Amino acid sequence: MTARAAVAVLAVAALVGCATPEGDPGAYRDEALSTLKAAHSAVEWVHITVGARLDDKIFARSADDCVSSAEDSLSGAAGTFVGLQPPRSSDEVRDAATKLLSDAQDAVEDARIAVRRDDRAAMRQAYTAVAHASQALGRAAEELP
Amino acid sequence: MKHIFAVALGVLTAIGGFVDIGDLVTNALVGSRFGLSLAWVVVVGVVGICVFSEMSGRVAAVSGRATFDLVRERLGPRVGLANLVASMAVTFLTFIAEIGGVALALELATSVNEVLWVPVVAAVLWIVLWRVRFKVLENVFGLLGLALVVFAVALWQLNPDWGGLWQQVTSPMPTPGEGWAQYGYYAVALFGAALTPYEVFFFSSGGVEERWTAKDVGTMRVNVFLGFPLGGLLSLSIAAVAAVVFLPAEVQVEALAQVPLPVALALGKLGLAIALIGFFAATFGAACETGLSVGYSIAQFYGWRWGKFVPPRQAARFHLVVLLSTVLAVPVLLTTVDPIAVTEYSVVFSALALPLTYLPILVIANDPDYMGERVNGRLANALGTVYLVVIVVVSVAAIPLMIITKGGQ
Repeated sequence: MTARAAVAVLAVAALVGCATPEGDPGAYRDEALSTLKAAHSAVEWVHITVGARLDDKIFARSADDCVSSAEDSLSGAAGTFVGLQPPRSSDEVRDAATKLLSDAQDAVEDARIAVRRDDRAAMRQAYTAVAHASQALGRAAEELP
Repeated sequence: MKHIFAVALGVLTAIGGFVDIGDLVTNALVGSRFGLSLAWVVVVGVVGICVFSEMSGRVAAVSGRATFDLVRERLGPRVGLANLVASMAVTFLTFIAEIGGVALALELATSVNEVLWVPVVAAVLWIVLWRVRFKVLENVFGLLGLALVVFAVALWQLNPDWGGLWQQVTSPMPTPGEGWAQYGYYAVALFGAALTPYEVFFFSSGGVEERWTAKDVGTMRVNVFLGFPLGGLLSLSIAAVAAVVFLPAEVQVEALAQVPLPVALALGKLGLAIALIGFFAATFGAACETGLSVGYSIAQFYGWRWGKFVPPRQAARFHLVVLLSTVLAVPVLLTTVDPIAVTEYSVVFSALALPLTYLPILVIANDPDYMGERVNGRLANALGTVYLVVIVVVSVAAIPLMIITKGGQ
């Protein structure tokens, strides 16, 4: 290899290294589905916990622990997904997934506030909202663009 | 009457002491993802631990020495060192996981963050290991661990579709949405959790602590062949309640806080409180066993005096190792590493280290110089050999499965 060819190879390598990877739309969709599955698990966990607290089957502290841990898990999953660079053709997937995740986070946040305040009326509202969020996440595999 | 009481106590403590943080987490996680389709692994694992515990207990009773006290002498320093390094590393990792488990159990009961509990747990643990008599330690935590029977009661109270559960047991394949690689990975994890190396370290060294003789072999066998399978049923009931509550809701167990939730749904606050007591007892008892096992393995390899049956001053190096390992576990957990993740890795690495732990037991249990007439019979050798083959296969598969599934994801 001549010196000129070596420089050209290095220049191309440098340019490739500077470019932001676009990613594969199929892999991005798989990642979205995997994140939504994890989110569904966390939201259902909250749903069961709030239901148990409303039935007075679980201590307030235990319910708070469960809801807070589920919220952390949901935030972690959502944060990782939102940080991914979507391929150009995957904006619809991204918008749909982030909307579902955002709705789920809002519902779980309301549930956490209600559980910490031990406000039964707010817990009942949160229970319904969490159930809706869970159903939407459960349908994601069929409905995601 | 006194003898019957001693046997009953031994069986009860064997049941209550069977479950540790690895069993709690792995069984609940597997139940939530695979239902009872991996129950066969628990059965295979329990038979395996019975086979090798009986051998190591018999070695202790007949020779008056713990199995690993004999490894270096019988198999030479190289094999002894390999055995020590592999088993000790896994036991120390398990020790860290158990301390983290105690802290998590206390967090569940008090809402005080587990990280704040870690130094307190370590300090209390060391005081217990230093001051409390072996028999007291074994009996108290073994009996308190029986609180985990609440999982079996909860299963009955949840009134599940028993036919559906049986169908899961008889369908050893992944549930929809899970692949064979994940199924294999969790099979390895369950097997590792059932045959954790420290269990035989502790069992054989405990036999020496309690001054077993050849006359105690019968009692020891009753404890092993009755207590361990009943303890295995506790593990299965943890998986079963997770399968009943979490699997249909598609909830994956990822925190210790989730594990007692099915008990709360079935039995309310009282059930939950009993489950939390069981968690504390199971994890604290196992932390004592793993902490002592770290000391046993090192002291036995170097030929130091060891154990709680001698005054601490006469076994100073043994107690120093126990102290140092307790102190070293604290900063690891203070890095805020997730104890559940440590537990998951510890059971898989246990599977990796199994051949180095169990091969020496089989060799020594066949040596008439140590065992006299009490060498392995045909059945023990046949089972031991079959299990060694299984153990090698599991050990070889552990790391590739961990990489392929990205740790079971």
